[in-house]
Amino acid sequence: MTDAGSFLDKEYPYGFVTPVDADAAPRGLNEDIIRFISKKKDEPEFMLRWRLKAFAGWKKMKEPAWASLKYPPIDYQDIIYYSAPRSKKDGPKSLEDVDREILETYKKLGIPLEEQKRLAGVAVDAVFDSVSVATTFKEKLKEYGVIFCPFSEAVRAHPELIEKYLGSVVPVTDNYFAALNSAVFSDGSFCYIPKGVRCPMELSTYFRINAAEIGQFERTLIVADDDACVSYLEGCTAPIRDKNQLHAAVVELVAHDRASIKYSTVQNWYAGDREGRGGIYNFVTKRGLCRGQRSRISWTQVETGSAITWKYPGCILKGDDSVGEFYSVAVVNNHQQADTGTRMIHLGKGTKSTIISKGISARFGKATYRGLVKMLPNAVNARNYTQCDSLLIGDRCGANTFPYIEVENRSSRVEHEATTSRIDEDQLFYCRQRGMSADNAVSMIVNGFCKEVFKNLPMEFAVEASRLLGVTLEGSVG
Amino acid sequence: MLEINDLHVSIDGKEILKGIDLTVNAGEVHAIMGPNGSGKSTLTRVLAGHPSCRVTGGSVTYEGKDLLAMSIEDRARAGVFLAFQYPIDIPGVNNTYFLRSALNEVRRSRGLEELDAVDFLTVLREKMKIVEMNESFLARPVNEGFSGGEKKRNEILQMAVLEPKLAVLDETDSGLDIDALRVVAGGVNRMRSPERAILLVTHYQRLLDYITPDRVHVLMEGKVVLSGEKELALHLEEKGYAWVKEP
Amino acid sequence: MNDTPELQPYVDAYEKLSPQRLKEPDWFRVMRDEAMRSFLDKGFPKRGDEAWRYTDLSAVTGARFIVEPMTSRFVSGGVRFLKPSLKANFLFFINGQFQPHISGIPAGVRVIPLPEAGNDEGFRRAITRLFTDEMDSLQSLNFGLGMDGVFIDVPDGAAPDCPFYVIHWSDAHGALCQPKILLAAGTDARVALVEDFRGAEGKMYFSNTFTGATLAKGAAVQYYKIQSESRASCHTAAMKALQEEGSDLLSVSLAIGGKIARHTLSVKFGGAGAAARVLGLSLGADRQVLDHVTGIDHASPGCKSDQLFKSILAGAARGVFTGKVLVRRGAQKTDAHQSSKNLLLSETAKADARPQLEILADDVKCAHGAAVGQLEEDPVFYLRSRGIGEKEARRILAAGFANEVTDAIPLESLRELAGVRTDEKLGEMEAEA
Repeated sequence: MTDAGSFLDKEYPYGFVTPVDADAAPRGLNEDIIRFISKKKDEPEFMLRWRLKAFAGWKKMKEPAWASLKYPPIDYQDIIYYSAPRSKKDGPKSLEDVDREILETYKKLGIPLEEQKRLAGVAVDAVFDSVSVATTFKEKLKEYGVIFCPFSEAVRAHPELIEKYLGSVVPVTDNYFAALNSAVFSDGSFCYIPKGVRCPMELSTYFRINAAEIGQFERTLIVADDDACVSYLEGCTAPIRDKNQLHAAVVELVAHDRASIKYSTVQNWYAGDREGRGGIYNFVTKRGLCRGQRSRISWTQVETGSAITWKYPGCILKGDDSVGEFYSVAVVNNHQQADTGTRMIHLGKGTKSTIISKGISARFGKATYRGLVKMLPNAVNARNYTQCDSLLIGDRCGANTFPYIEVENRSSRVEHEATTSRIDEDQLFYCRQRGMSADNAVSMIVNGFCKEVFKNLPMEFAVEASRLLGVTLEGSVG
Repeated sequence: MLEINDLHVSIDGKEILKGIDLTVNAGEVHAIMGPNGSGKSTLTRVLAGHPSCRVTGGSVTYEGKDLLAMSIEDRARAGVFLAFQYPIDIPGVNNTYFLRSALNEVRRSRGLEELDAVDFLTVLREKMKIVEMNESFLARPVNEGFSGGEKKRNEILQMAVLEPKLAVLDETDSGLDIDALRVVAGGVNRMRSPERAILLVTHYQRLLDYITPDRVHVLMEGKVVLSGEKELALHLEEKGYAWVKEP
Repeated sequence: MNDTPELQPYVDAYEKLSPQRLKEPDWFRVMRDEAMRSFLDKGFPKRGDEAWRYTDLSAVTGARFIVEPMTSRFVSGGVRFLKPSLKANFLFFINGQFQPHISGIPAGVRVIPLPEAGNDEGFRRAITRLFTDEMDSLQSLNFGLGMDGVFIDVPDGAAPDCPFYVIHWSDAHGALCQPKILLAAGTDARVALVEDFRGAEGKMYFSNTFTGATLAKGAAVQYYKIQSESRASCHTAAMKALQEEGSDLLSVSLAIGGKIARHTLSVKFGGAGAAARVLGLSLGADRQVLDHVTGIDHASPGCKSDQLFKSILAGAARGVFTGKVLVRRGAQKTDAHQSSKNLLLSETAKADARPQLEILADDVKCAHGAAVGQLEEDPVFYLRSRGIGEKEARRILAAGFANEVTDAIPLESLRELAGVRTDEKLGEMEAEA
C-alpha cells in the first residue's frame, strides 16, 4: 500500500485550487444575502419573491434526520453563499472574456472549453463556484431552437419559461435542502428542447467548486416539449480541503408528450482523506416529471465522490404509459457515506419503472439504498422492477437496503430483489491466478458488477466511470 | 523446475496433504491420479496459492525460488498456470477484456511491451483455432452461461494465450464428451515443449489415451503412494485404486 | 414525561394496581416502574412515526379501555368449547386473565401463573433477559400494566410429547387484555407453543400481548400463532426470541381477525450456529389492517435466518410487512433471506412492503425479495381449461398461495387446523374480490 500522500495524489487528481480573484458575499444567511444574490443576478421581481418565500419556508423546517448518515451539525451561518470569479463585465460574453486561469482549470479537468477542441458531440456549460463561466455551442444549438444557457441568463432572457417551470417539479418547500437551494441558488443550467426536436448533441454541465468555505447551490431545469429528445451529462469536482463544504443542488426535469430525457451524472466531488477529514456534503434533490403520455425520463448516476451523499433522483410518472428509469452505482471507500436511491411515483395508466442499483462499500464506507415505489389507485397496469445489489469489501464497511413498496391497485405489479454479499474470493483468486494484481482484480470484478448501469452511460462517460471506480477502490483489499 | 518436498497442507484445520514429494523437470508431463478425496485438487490449489490452503510443513521450489512465499499473481506472472476444475463466472466482465488484461500484466512483469487491442485480437484468433472456439464467445462475460465443455476449452485457451512454464490442469477432462476431450487434449499436446512442464491431475485414465505422460503418480490419502511409467495408468484402469492398497 | 390527557387513565390504573404490585418482589416492581415510565415517555405510536407509517392506531389511542380484570359472559368452563380437536396441553385465558383451574399442565414441566412466578429464579432470569430498552411503547405498556400470564419452564433435554396450546378468549367490550406468555427452553429441550386468539364478534377490545422465548444451547422451539380476534378489536402482539448457540426456532403467524392487527417478531442470535425460520400469512378483508413486523438480529456468527411473509388482500384491506435483518459487525458467515409476497384480490386493497437489510459484516449471504401483484392469468386459464369454474379456479390458486406458509407447519393436526381457518377466511374474502 502506498503512503498517504501519494495515495491521495493518485486517488483524487482534481484536488487543485485555481487562484482567481473572487467576488463573494459575506458569510452567513439572511434576507439581505438573498437580496444580494438576486441583485447580482439582475433578476426580475418574481424571482426575488420566490426566493424569499423559500427562505421563509426553510426557516420553519428541520434538517432531515432519517437518513443513515452521521455528520456533525452544519452551521448554516458559517457558509459563504455566493462566490464568483471577478470579471470585467457582468458575465463573459465569449470565451475570450473568460479568465485564462479558469480556462486552464477546465483543461486540467479534461473539459477544454474551446469548441474546436471539444468532441463535436457535446455542448458544455461550465459552472465555477456560484456562476456559469462558459457555455459552448450555443449558436449551433440555437439553429435547432434549443435553448442551453446559464440559469441566470435564462431568468433574464426567458422569464416566461422560468416562471412556468421553476419549482413545478420540486416545490420550494419540498424538503429542507431544496428549500435552502431555492432561496440561495446562484446559477446552473437551463435547457429547453422545443417540440419535435432531437437535440443534435449531448448537453453537459460541469460543476466545479473552487473557493474555500463556499456552498454551491446550483439549479438545473430541463424541459423537453412534445416529441423532443435530449441527453444530458453532469460532472463535478472540487479541490482538496480539510473542511467540509456543502453542495445542495436541485434538478428539475419536465418531459411532455412522447418526450425523452436522459440524465447522466458522474459525481466525483472531493471525498475527504483516508481518515475522513474534509470532503463535500452532497445533498441533492433531483426529480423528473413525466408529464405527457409516453414520455420517458432516465436517470443514470455514478456516485464515487463526496464525503456524504444524500440524493434520490425520482420520477413522477403522471402521463399514461410513461417510463421512468434509475440506474445507479454508488461507491463508498474510506469514511464516505452515501444514502441514495430513487422514488418512482406511478400515477398514470400503464406506467413503467425500472430500478437497478449497485452499491459498493469498502474500508469504513457505508452505502444505503433507499427507494420508494408507489402505485396509486389510477396507475392501472403499472409495472416496476427493482434490483439492488450490494458488494462489501472488508469487514468494517456497511451496506443497507431500505426499499419502500406501496401498492394501491391490484393490476399493478411490483417486483423487488436485493442481495448483499462480499466480493467473491474465488473470482479474486481466478483473476490473480491469471496474473492480475489484487487491485486490478477488484476493479475488474466490480466493473463487471456495475456493467448493467455503465451500459446506460454515453460512451465517454462510461469509460470515465469505469476508471473512477478503479481509482476509488484502489488499496481496498490488502 | 518444480520440487515439492514433504508438503503438508490443511484446509479448515483438516490435514489434506500429508507429506508430498514430487519433482517435475522442464519438458516433462506428469499425471497425478487418485480416487476422490485423495487431495489431488488441493495439490493444484496450493501450487497456485489458494487462500484456503494452509501449508503446515514442507517446501515447494519453483525455478530455484520459494514458490510458497510468492503472491498468487506473482506465481502466475512467473509462469504457473492453473486450469481450474470448476472455472468461476465473472458476470459483466467480457472475455476478451479479461484475457487481454491478464496477458498484459504477465507481459509487463516480464518486461515485454503490452499488446494493444488489435494486436491482441490477432494473437487471440490464432489461439482460438487450437481449441476450436467460436468467435461469439469473445464478447460474452467470463464463463457466464458457458457449458461445462466451453468452460474447459476456455481454460485451455487462456493457457495457450498466457504461455505458462508450468501448467497445472485440474481434472480438465471431467465432464467432457469425446469431441471436447479430443480438442482439449489437442490443445495440451500443442503446449508440450522442452521448456515447459505439465502436471495433469485426473481421476480417469482416458485423458492419458490422448496425452502420453512421462511419469504417473498415484495420490492416496494425501500421499504419493506409487510412481511409475505411463503403463501404471493402465494398470490402475484395469484393477482400480484398491489394487494399490493391497500389500 | 408525556402529559397528554389520553395517557391519564393508564397513570390512574397503575396507581390502582399498587396493592397488587406491592405483593411482587422488588426487582419486578422496579421493572414495572421502568416500563411504565418508558410508556408514558413515548406515549402511543403517533401518525408520522416511521415504524407506524402504514398502520394507524388512532382508534386505540383515542379509546378508553378498562385495565381491571373483566368477567366473561361465559362461566369460565364454557370456553372449553373453543378447544380444537387435537392433542395438546391447553391453557386458557379469558379477557387476558389466566384460568388455571381449567388448564392442563403435564408432568415434568413447570407452568407457573404470573402472580406466583415472582419468586421463581427461572422466571426472573427469563423475564429480565427479555426486558430490554429496545422495546416499543406498546411492549412497555404490557410490561407496566399487564399483571397476568404464565411462565412455562421446559428443563434441559425435556421434550413434552404435545404442544402447549394457549387459547386467548376475549369478549368484554372495552377490555384491555395484556397477558404475557414466557417460555424457557433448556439445553437441547424441544417444545411447541401455540397461541390461538379468539374473540366474541362485534366486541371492541384491545389485546396487547407479549410472548417471550429463551432458547438455551441446542433447544428447538416451534411457535405458532393463529390470530382470529373479533373484527372490531385491535391486536398488537410482540413475540421475542433469544437464541443461544445451535438453537432452532420455527415461527408461523397467521393473521386473520382484528380490525387493526400487528404482530411484531424479534429474534436475537446470541450464540453461533443458531437458526430461525419465520413465516407469516395475512388474510385481509373489509377494512382490516394486518401488519407483520420482524427484526432478526444477527449478533453472532454463523447463524441462518429465513423469512417468508405473504398476504392475500380483499375488500379495502391493507397488508403491511416490515422486516429488518441486522447483521452486526463480526457476525461473519451469516445467511439471511427474506421474502414478502402479496396478492391483491380487489381494486381497493393495498399492500405495503418494507424489507430491510442492514449489514455490517462482509462474509455474508443476504438477500431479500418483495412482490406485489394479482393472480397470474395463465394458471387461471389452465384451471378453467380443465373445466374448473373461474371463481373456483381463483379460490384454488389463492389457497395454493397461502399453503406455502401453512405447509411449513410440521405438526399435522395443527397444519390441518391452520388450513381450515385459512379456507374459512378465503371463503369470506371471495365475496369481496
